[in-house]
Amino acid sequence: MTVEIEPSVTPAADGSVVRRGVWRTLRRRPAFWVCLVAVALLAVVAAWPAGFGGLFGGGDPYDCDLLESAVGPGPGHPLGTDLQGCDIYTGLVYGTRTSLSIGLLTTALALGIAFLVGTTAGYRGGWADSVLARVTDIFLGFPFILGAIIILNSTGDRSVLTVSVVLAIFTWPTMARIVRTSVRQVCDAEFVAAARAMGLRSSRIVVRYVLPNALGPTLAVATITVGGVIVAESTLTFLGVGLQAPSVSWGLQLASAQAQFQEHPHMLLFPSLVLSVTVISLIALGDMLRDALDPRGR
Amino acid sequence: MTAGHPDAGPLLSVRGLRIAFVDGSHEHEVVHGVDLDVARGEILALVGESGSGKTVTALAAARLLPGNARIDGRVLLDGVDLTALDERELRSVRGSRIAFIFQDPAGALDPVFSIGAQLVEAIRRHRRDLARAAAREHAVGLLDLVGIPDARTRMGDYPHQFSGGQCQRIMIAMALSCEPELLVADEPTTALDVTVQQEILDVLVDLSARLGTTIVIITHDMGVVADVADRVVVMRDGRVEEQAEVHRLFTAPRADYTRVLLDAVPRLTLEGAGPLASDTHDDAHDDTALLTVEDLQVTYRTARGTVDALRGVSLRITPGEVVGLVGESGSGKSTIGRAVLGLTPVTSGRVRLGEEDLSHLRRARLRAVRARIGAVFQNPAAALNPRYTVGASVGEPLRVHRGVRGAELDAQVAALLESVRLPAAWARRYPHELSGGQRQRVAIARAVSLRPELLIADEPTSALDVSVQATVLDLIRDLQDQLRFGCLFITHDLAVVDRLCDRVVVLHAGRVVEAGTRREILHAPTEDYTRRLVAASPVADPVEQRRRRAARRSLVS
Repeated sequence: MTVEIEPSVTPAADGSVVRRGVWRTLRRRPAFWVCLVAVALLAVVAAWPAGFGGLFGGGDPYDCDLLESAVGPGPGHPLGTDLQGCDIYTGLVYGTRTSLSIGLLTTALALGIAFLVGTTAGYRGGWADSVLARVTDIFLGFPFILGAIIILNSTGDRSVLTVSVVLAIFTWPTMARIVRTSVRQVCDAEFVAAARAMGLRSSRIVVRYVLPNALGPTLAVATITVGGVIVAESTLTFLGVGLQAPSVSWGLQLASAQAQFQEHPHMLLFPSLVLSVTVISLIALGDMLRDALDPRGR
Repeated sequence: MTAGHPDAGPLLSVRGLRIAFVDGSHEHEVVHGVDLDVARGEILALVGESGSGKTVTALAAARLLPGNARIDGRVLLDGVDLTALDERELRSVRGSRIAFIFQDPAGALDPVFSIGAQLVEAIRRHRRDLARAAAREHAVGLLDLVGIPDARTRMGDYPHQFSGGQCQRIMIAMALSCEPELLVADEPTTALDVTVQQEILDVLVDLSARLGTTIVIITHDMGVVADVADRVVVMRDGRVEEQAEVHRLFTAPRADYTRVLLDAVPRLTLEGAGPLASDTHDDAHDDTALLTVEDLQVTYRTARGTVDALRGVSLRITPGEVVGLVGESGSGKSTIGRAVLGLTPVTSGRVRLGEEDLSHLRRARLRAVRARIGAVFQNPAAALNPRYTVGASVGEPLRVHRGVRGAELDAQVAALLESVRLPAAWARRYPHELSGGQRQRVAIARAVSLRPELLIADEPTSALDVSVQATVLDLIRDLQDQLRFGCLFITHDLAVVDRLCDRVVVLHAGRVVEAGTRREILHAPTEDYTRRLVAASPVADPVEQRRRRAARRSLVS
């Protein structure tokens, strides 16, 4: 046989293909910069709320005037005030740190547990899979509010950390299931069989072969989870088992605005707008990062 | 070009067909002006390798292409231009005048409805006046026609209760339910075993003879072409290379490409002519076995009980020997390979590599022993880690087992890539930038990187086009000549065995049916099963195929 009838990729002069790295791929996308700036701004606000809170006067989230209850946007209160007469803008600025930390910390914790449990179940299979699947089911089946109330009531000090831990306890099972499913799928691929046949250690197979190829679906869910967690915190705080009053968070603002939505839409509008921008930026960043990490997407 | 039926024009006539796929602002033309005719009552084979545009051309005839496809040219069915019809008129053509059979029969049937219900529905869709009971009768008749035994009682069964071959028969029955004039079969037997393939092809030939159905069969297999076709259209890269009557095509191919294609087909040399590979290898064999498999049993536990994949298999490979392991799907041939590689737990029996008993080794020792075995699998798309560059994949065993790093590793990887005839610079590419054959070469380079004593090749060429398959087989043979590894070559294709193997082991239902030298097994098989297998594997010779078909017919009647 001398004739080779195979399609081939268009090679560059030296026979290799022109390739861009992760960073070079990312920085070519305008959407990446938009999202990055949004997230960076949020991070700066979270780190240094005092510098932003006072931009339009006020500057103390606890400085509320009942005489100015539920005023619409206007001078002094660019986004209006809530029912207690607190400035919504200042509240948003000071709530950023709490909400972002709870959202990110919870997601990170949940992802950690999910990867540990999901990968073990998916890769090992057999009895480990059965046991872990039942454990996951127990956590999934347990009512979130009831569980959270019990746990948080029995902890004396309710900080961002404790609330995050409790939220993570009820967030990881869904992710663990997704991890398990994609790990199983990847494990069926022949390149994993080839890696085992090569005599590689399981740890190397999991880290270099299985996880990189199973990451995608879980990361997509994780970025969405951040938003869900921020709102879930408000539920807990509203019930009095979340953050201890007087605290400020986006979730709390949303919770208190719900009842007033028809008369005073601005109370709900601005916090939910900020939350949406945050979540959308994180989702888009996650998506773009995932595409850039996949050699096929570059 | 045929003008063979002067009384009526061709049933289907394609003129200047161009098909392009539009992706955003790009337009990618895949078929560049195809002209072909399908005469009434003939079986036309549309042959070509993947990417030749054969399937797209056939789908375009019924306008079954996705929305981003643009079709130019004319497709005339009985003089009516199908490209000019609107969606409603087209629906009355599809199914009732043109019917399709696809490659994957199990996937084409709905798993939650009984096949009777699906058939009745298909019949009544085109003949609304037919009463349900009459439609049922008709369905039973169709199942009889395609050779489903006990058709009446099996009407209530679900697709998973039928074998792959039976599912394909049911698909044919469904396609026939509306009595189409033209039946388009797209690789109808590719997913099936040779003996089953033979039965399905017999059904198709029989239909064309009895009902006068015109059949277009799309295939990459020259053996299938030789078996069933009256006329052949050879396609390559979206163009027709040659159209010819089947005997002429095989005896006097005009286009260069047809010749290449025919040369690449692995053949069973039925007369045993030419030097056997084993003749040159014999001196290298000594009596110390490289791989010994003794009374190997593997039982899988499923939700509904246990499945015996292997029921006591013994075989031996001596150093430098290529042993072909042949069997149909479900025979357990892959299980043996996986058991040797340690990918499947062994229920009982022993697997020994040299002096080491693989079933009784500690994990660390087992990992070290694995370095002495290379493995190549079937699916080129999944053979390599998509996140690794080609170089990283090839260098992985060296890096892990030998601790080679840096420039030394790069140099060894480059040498390995060159040994499988790929440019060394491709080390920086990713698998998705390679074709199937190229990926399989990379997988082979990885498998031989540690100079293994044993290579397990599990259908490494089954998913490749014939011409690519030929080059990959040549490559394996060359490497084997150089490196002298013992090889367990698992395949369903006897012609491939003929090209490569010294000895052959035939497996059926988890047991060894017959074992012997290649010459013994292929030319003088003693077991009935082996004989059936040899007889069913199609050869690229229309005369021989006609003879066999006649012989089968006389056997049945």
